[in-house]
Formats: sequence, structure tokens, C-alpha cells
Amino acid sequence: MDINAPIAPVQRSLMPEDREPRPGLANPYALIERSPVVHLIYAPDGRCIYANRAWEAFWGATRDQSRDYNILQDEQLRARGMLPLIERAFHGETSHLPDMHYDPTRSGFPGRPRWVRAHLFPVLSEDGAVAEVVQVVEDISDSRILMEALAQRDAQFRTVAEAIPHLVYTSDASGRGNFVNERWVEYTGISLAQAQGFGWLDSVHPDDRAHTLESWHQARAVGGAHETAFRLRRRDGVYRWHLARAWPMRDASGAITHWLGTLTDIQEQKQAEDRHRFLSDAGLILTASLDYQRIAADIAALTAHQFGGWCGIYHRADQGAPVLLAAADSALPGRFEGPAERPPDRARRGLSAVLADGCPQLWNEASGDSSRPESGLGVPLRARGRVFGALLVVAQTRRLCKNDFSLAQELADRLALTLDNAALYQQARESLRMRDDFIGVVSHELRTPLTSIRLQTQMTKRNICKGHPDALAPERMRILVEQTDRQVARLSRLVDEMLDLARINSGKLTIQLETFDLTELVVEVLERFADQLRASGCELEFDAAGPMVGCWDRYRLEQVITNLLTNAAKYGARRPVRVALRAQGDEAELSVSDQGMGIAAADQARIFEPFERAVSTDNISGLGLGLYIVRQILERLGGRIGVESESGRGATFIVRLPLRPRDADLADG
Amino acid sequence: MANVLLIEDDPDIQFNLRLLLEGEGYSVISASDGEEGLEALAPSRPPIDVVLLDLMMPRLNGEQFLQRLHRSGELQSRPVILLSASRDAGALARRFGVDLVTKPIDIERLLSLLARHCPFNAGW
Repeated sequence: MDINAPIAPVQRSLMPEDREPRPGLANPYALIERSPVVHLIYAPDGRCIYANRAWEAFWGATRDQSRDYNILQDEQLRARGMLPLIERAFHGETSHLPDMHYDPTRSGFPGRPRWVRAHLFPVLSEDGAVAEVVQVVEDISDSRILMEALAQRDAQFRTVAEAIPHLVYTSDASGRGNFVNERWVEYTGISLAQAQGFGWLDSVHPDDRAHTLESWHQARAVGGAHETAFRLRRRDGVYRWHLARAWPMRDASGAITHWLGTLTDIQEQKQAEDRHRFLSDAGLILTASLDYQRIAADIAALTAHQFGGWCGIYHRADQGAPVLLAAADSALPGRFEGPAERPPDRARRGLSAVLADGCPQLWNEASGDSSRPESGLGVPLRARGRVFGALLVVAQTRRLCKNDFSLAQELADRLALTLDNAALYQQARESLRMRDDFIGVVSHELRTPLTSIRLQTQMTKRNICKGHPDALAPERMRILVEQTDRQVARLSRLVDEMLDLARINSGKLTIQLETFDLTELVVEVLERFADQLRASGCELEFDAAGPMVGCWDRYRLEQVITNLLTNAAKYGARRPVRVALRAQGDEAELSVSDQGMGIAAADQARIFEPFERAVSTDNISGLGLGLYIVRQILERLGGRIGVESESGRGATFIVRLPLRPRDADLADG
Repeated sequence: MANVLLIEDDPDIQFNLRLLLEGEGYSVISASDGEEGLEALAPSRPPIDVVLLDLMMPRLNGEQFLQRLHRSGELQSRPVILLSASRDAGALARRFGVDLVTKPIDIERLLSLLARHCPFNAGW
């Protein structure tokens, strides 16, 4: 049935003037009289001819008060522009008036203003003319208040959603977005229209999408609040970590109608947390060991993982070339090929720059072999005021930023301290080992002559006690005294060397300059040495141009020559030893050559260090201090010593001495 | 007469020990390092009753010499007296089950050890 169709022609029997009133139906409008809905009936001229009881109750008026009311002359309705709609009913069409807030007093009725909704139905007579117009009035005040309250709540929600410093969204029960706040649009650059449905997922970092959806599905399954974190893309393409929280909203029946979610930027916390976790992981490595190599390898692996790329840790001794201590690549975990593995060109330049002036470097620039710009950083390893290495990072998947830079610097500071401690520890251990070796060598060197002397004295005593006839025979005595003399000389040489070492260590090696002829001194020492060389089976050749006068320390140079000759006799393999002295510019050049076993290239620098010798300690005779003391003496005189040798082909020690030491060399002592 | 192999690199100590031992009726064969010592132990050479062994020597040192003897099983039947000033000598002597006389050498102790190893030394 079409409710908008005009009411069918009124049965005359219903009309009051034509019909006998039926019992209990005193009024022809009795049917509508008892209706709980307000009904009014108008004559074709708009005059009110009937108002039901509901009307009276509605306004708190009496029916009499409706008599003078004419709907076509209602100023309030006219002012609201409703007259044309009303007139339509009087022309035979059903008409529905829009909701309005109606004040009865302005029409001469009592009562307070109400929200009403009115419908007008024309009643046609048999000839089709409008006989009456029935008006039905609904009281919509309650629903209107409810709607207003809802609208107000909605406005409040939007205000809150815009005011709080979070990104806010709502979605329907299935998770399809249906609202995002301004801040969301501002941050992501994505409008509500684009974010609707699952469009928002595009803004989540691809690596975080799976776990974000997973968390959302769980929340839906459980129907409870959920929390997760993911990286959300900013309009400029930068991802920042956000904490996402969502709460389900339920209707009266408890069914979820929609979800309310907030996104909080936790990039700073996340970074701080990440930084803290990284540094604390690094701390574990740094405190776990004092093994230099292991620390470097573990830190390189951790750092490569943290920055997503390649990490190399370099060490540089003094001003030498940097040596790669350890390297790691996050793409190739656990695969370090050793020092051969090199960083890209740009990183190598970064390394040089860091080592040159200790200034940290950060670069983002095109690299030669790839279209992608290379992002890298280099920070110095610094301890006790000197740069002794560098930590290098080359990122493979992202651009390194200021935060990465400061994190790497903090790590490098801690790493430097630990590596320095590890180095000191290793040095201390090495010193202890050398001290132990030294004590071993010294005790052997002291006990060997003492053993000879003691054997001699014990045997003599035994022979005397036993009344041996030859106990004190002159020949026996001669051998005994000669041996004792030799052993005592050996002991006093050891004591001298140890005293010299102590003087060198405390910087008290004294030099007494005088002017003398070096050729004369060499000849003197050679004469004294002739017997010993002969005993070793070495022939001696000496070659000098003539006198060589200079200003040196006679006693110390004698020590130098003696030492070199002792070595030549010891290692000369019974072959000729050649000594030559000649002038080279303003320097004197003294060379001592033997034809013994020679010194391997690898050992040539080492033999001038204390306690070193080219052969093992089992081969010893002497403390291994000779060449070290020689070098120290020569340096104090502004001279130097070197060796030219090949394994198995003899050795030539070459001393170069300025004829007169410079003041600076003397002052060094 | 018992044969003593004296392995010692220092010529003076070697000279004095030889003098002492020969005076006590031993026959002394000298070697100046472990290699020479091993050569002197070859079956073609005169049989050795006891070995006096220095520890710190060039080429083959005392410890390496003991290892060689140990590996060839010869150490069990061959008395060795270690002569050393090294702090590690005590541990080494215990490890190989040999006697130790520390340097400077106490000749009475050395002679009594030798006498124990060579009870039938004809020199006596």
C-alpha cells in the first residue's frame, strides 16, 4: 500500500452531521480520538475543525484553544518556509513536513517548545475535491536529543582525536579504516580516502607488514585491545617507529562495532633502546676477554649486524700502514677472509682521513662501481692521546645518519679503551715472559762459569783430602788459574752488560767525549782479540786507509768493536773475518764481516732489540744484549748500525759514526 | 770400567768433569750437543752405562734428547743424570724419570749417583 496516496473518499456515514451517533461513539472522530498519536483535522480553508485528546495532552491545552487556529495562517510555519508544503496537502497531495522545533505559544497555545515531525493527508470527497486535511504530529524530541547528544559526542571525539599528539584512526569491525585524523594525513601524506579499507598498510614498512597484520588478526580473534610496533612511512619517505594500540568498541549486545586506534611516534625511544641494547651487547664483548683479535672480531660482527653492512676494524702501529684486525659483513655472517678483504675505495679514503687527523668521517656519495650511493662512516680509535686505529662502517641497505655516527663514535671510544687495555695487558704479559726468559738466561749465564769454578775447587779439595800426589802440581794449578781467570772475566762481562742495560733503561748511559784516532783504537782491540779469533779458527783481515780522528767516547767504542768481533768469532764458522774502516763524507764507516751462517732478513731488525738473538735461546752464550747495547751507544753518539746478510752467506755489520756528535744526540741522554 | 757419555756444550765444564770422572776410574765419551750424544749411543759405538746430560745446548737440547730416547723406548734401560741450573729441570727430570744434579754441581752427589748406576765400575 502506498502510504503517500491520498486517503480514499470519506464515507458519509463517518461524517458527524449525517450519521446517527452509535452507542459509545459519541464523536464521529472517536477512532482517532483515542489514538495516542496527535491528530488534527482542518477544513479546506485551513481552519482547525478537530483536535484529539492526544493533542490536548501534548501541548497541555484544551480543544477550545484549537478553534481559532488556521494552519494556512501559521506565521511560524510560514517563517520556516513550510507553507508551500502544507498547501500541497490542501491541493490533494500527501505532504511530509521536515522536522522542526515548534513553539506553541507563538500560535496561541500553551506548552513548551518541542521537536515535532508532521504529516498531512488530504481527505477527498466523492467529487475528488479536498474535504478535509488530517494532520498527524509526531513528538521527536527524545530522538532529537539523542541525535544531538550523539553529534556532540562525535564532535567531541573528533576534537580529542585532533587534539592529542598521536595519529588516530578508527576502523570497522573487520579492520577496514574509516577515519583518520588530520595528524595522520599530515604525517603520512595519505588522505582518508587513500587510507580507507587496508590502504593504510601501504604506509607500514614492508618488513613490518606481516607481523602487524598477524598482531591485528590475533586481536580480532581475541577481541581485546592490542599493541604492536612498526615503522610508518612519513610523507618524505622516511620511516619512523610507531607504537600502535587499538581498542575494540562494542554495542549493547557486546558485539564489536569498530576499533579505535592510536599511533605514537616512538622513534626516539626505539633509537635510545636500540642504542642501549647495542652498547650493552658491545659491553659484554668488551668485558668478556682481553684477547685483542677476538674482541675486534666480535665487535666487527656486532657492528656489521647493527648497521646492516660491512664493518672493519683497523690497527695502526706508530705511523705505519693500517692493518685490518677484523672485518665482518652482515650479508655474509661468519665469513671473514682475513686482511685480504678490503673495503670499497671511498671507505679507504675515509680510513686515511680518519687516521691522518683523527677526525671522524661520514659520507654519502656515489661510489665508482655501483649506481647506489655509498653510505659509510669512519671513527678513530683513540687512547692516551693518540689515534691507533679506526672503525669503518659501510652501510648496504640505508643511509647512515647523525645518530649512527654518534653511536659509532661512542662504540669506538669504548672499543679503543678496551683494545688499549688488551694491548697493555699483552705487553705486560710479554714483559713478564721476557723477564722470565731473561732470568733464565741470566741464571744460565751466571751458573755456567760458576759451575766450572766450583768443579775446579771441589776437585782440588777432594784431591788434597785424599792425599793425591798431583793435587797441587804446578801444571794443574796453571790450568785451574787460567780457567778461573776466564770464568771470572766472563762473569764480569755479564755484570757489565747488565749494568749497561740498567743505565740505558734509566737513561743514564754516560758518554765521555775526547778526540782520538779511531784507526788506532781498532788496531788495539784487534790485537787484544787476535788470540780469541785464532782460537775460534777465524783468520783476521783489517783494511784501513790511515788515521781517522774524531770526537767520540773511547771506552764505549771499544765496547762496540769488541762486541762485533765477539759475534764474528762466535758465528764466523771458522772462516776469515774482515774488518774495514773508511771515511764516508763526514762519517766514519766501520764494517765487520764474517762468513758464517748469516742472518735471515726477518731477523735483521730484531737482533738489535734487547734479549734477542737470531738463534734460539738454547744456542746462547751471553745475554743477548750485545747488539742492543751497541745500538744504544751508537745512537748516543749520533751514529747508527745496520746489517747486510743473507742466510748461510755470512753477515756484515756496518757502523756509521759522525766525526763529531751533534749536540741534540748528546742532549737526548 | 764403566762408560759415561757426557753431553755438555761448555768446554770448561766438559774438561773439568772429564778430569773428575777419569780420576774416579770412569771412561768418558764427550759430546757437545744432543745430536752428537745420539750418535755416541749408536749400536756400533762402545756401550754406554750412564749418560750425563746438560739441558741448554744448541741444535738438539737436553729435553729434545730425552724425548728422542723416550720415543725409541731406550730411556727405560738407559740411566740418565740431568745436569742443569734451569728452574724447569726438576719437573723435566720427574717427567722422564731421570736423576737430577743441579748446577753448580755437587761432585759428591754426582759421584754417589754414578756409583749407584755403575756398581761394578772396575775403577773402584
